[in-house]
Amino acid sequence: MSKYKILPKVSKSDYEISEELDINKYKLTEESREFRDKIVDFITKQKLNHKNLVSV
Amino acid sequence: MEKPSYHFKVSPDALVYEFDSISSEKTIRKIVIYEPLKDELFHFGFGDLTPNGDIDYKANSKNQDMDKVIMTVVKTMFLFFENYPDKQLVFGGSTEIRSRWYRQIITKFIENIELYFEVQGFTTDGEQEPFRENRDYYAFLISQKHEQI
Repeated sequence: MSKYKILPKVSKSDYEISEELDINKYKLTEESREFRDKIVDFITKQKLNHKNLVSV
Repeated sequence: MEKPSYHFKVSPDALVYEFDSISSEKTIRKIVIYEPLKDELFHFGFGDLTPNGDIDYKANSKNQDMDKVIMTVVKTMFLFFENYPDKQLVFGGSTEIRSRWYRQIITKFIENIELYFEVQGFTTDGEQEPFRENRDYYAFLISQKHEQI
């Protein structure tokens, strides 16, 4: 049986929670969006290939 | 985790982080976004907030505080995985400089990183392997390590 390794605790004095921050409020530059899409396509394709290989 | 880092703001869902990179010359608002994709995959995005409010993943601001910025980003990653331990992060360098930067960071901190995370590298021809120093990778995959109990 296994569990996730316990990570170092980030001190609460290092950050504050802000309700203003919302992932839906941000927009990427066009270049950033294209780059993100390329990486995501690449990785999901690789993981799919890997799954297919494993299942063979 | 005693190295200096910037104070940062985090969204209630631990997916968005903001902090200011400060030098005598300029202050740059930095953004880290853990964007949910599909299944267990999240995209790790890191960039600068532009004057018109967009996020630029290609920015190379050189504000003489790289170590402090890296430590801050590492802390956001710890917080992210604390909230989403079973997820995987995918990211890559938007430019060659960025790819080298990520590779340098991982290499520099690999002993510490490997204590907690599995890091996989993907070459441009699709080869996936545990991260090796001095190897060119197009993208990276990070997940939290398990330990036997």
